[in-house]
Amino acid sequence: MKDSDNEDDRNKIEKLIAKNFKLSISLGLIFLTIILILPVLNEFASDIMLKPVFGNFTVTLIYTALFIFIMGWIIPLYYTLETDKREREYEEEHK
Amino acid sequence: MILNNPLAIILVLLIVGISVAVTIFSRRFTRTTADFYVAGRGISAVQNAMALSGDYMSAATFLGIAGLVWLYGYDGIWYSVGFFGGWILLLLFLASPIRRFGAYTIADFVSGRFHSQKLRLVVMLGTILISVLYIIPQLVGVGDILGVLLGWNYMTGVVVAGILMTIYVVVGGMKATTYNQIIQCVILWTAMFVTVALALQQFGFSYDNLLTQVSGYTQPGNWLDFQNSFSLILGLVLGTAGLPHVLIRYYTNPSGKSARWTTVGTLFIIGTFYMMAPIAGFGARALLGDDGGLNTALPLLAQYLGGEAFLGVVVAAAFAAVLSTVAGLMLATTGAIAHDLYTNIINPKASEEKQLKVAKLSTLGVGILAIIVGILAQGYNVAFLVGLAFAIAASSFFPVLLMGTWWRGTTEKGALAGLVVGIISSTTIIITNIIGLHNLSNPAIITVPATFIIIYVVSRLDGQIPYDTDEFMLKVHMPGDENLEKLD
Repeated sequence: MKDSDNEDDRNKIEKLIAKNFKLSISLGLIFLTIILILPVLNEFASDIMLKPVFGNFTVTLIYTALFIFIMGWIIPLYYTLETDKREREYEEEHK
Repeated sequence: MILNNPLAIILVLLIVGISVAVTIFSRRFTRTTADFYVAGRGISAVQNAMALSGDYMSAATFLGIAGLVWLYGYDGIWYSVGFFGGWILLLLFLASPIRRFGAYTIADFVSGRFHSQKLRLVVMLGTILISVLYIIPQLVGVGDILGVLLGWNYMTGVVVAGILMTIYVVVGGMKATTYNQIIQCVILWTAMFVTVALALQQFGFSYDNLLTQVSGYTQPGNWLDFQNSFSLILGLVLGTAGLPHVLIRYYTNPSGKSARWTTVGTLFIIGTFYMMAPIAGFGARALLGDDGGLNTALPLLAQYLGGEAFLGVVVAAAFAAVLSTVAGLMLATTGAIAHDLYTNIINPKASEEKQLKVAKLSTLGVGILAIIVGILAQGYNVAFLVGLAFAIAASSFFPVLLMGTWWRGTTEKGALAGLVVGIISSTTIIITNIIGLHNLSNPAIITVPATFIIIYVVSRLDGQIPYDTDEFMLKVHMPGDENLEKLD
């Protein structure tokens, strides 16, 4: 393989790494925001967070014991399917 | 020794028997160092998800969360959320690259990136520190539970658990540990599910009715203030992504893709488990009132719900939780001593046979040390101590691994400065909190940003990027499992 081919391959992979990082960092920031905003809301918006939504379930309880877990399944599933798809596309391009 | 629950004794002995049988079965697969440390890299995504779940669902999880929710209510749920949340970051940033690199320990990964024996040594010491801090509460948990509920004295429980896990790691290595962790995962999850189902049955299968009985415990602030809640959750989330005994399990996957699916599977198993643990804690508060216990609320709830028979099941499950987690920690510690220190620093020319022998001897030494430390640490709360291990991992390993994997500008000096500052600052803040100089019980809020800044600034000032950083980046990020085989 010529050096220029190697250079070309490397550029493509670097682009793929940057694309993957963008996906990881976006989803990572979304999840960190979801999880780290909770103590902030509990402290500074306690009136809303302690409001009962149904029965004894308050906003904060639903957020903590349900919403975070559901998001913690959706985000990884999306990431994994998307990454698998990108890798398949890359492999097909380089067959 | 008072044997006051024969069924519990029988079930604990059954777990012991199964572990020994699995170990004998796995022995034939443990002939090389690759078999010992990474089970020949042949563990499938489903198997590894179950093993990782068994590894991660420790005494802190099984006993500690229910106990904290029983005592403090809502604030105890922070542990459920934090223990769970870290896996998402692990998946997004580290799982696949670590597997693609394909080594045995975290020090291998860091050393492969920066070519530095100094870094290998610091990572090795960090691995031992984190793992020992994590082992202590597991053994405290087993000593407490077997002592209080079976009438065994504390020391007997710690010694029995310590000897058993040492034997099965020494004899069966990662393969036996994996199979045992899979079995223990099933036992733990099922025990928690049945406990929660029986607890909810008392309230007409209504979570809402249960909450009515614990109305003073469903709001935040019974234990942690804003600053400590924030710092704890940050420490638990980032700490999970930096725990050596979790990270090394990714080396057992055959590919980067299976490492990702392993994490997804783990998230489903532990997520459901962490959703159930607070329900058990609220159930213990509603049904036992003040007669629970920080490390014993769950088993006492089981006794209330299902008598001595169900108590026996939960005690056996707690025993399984300790075994699976400590075995994983022992493998991480053994890798640090035998592989990082002996094979890579002291005797790089050691034969395969010699390396395996040293690995097994190291496991034996770690087992003895764990038993001694476990005996000395009687009386500590399990979830709190695990939180400290997480804080150190979050402040040192996670920032270095993240920046080393994704930012090519990271240099050896930057990583070294980050690790040293992270470990020293988090340990100092923890110790000064214990002696009463301030009330920040979890240091992550200060130490995590500090470590990231230190790595960035020192790397920028240093500018000595390793010569083969591009090759490293390609290796850990390059798609396609056939490339992985080529590079392994």
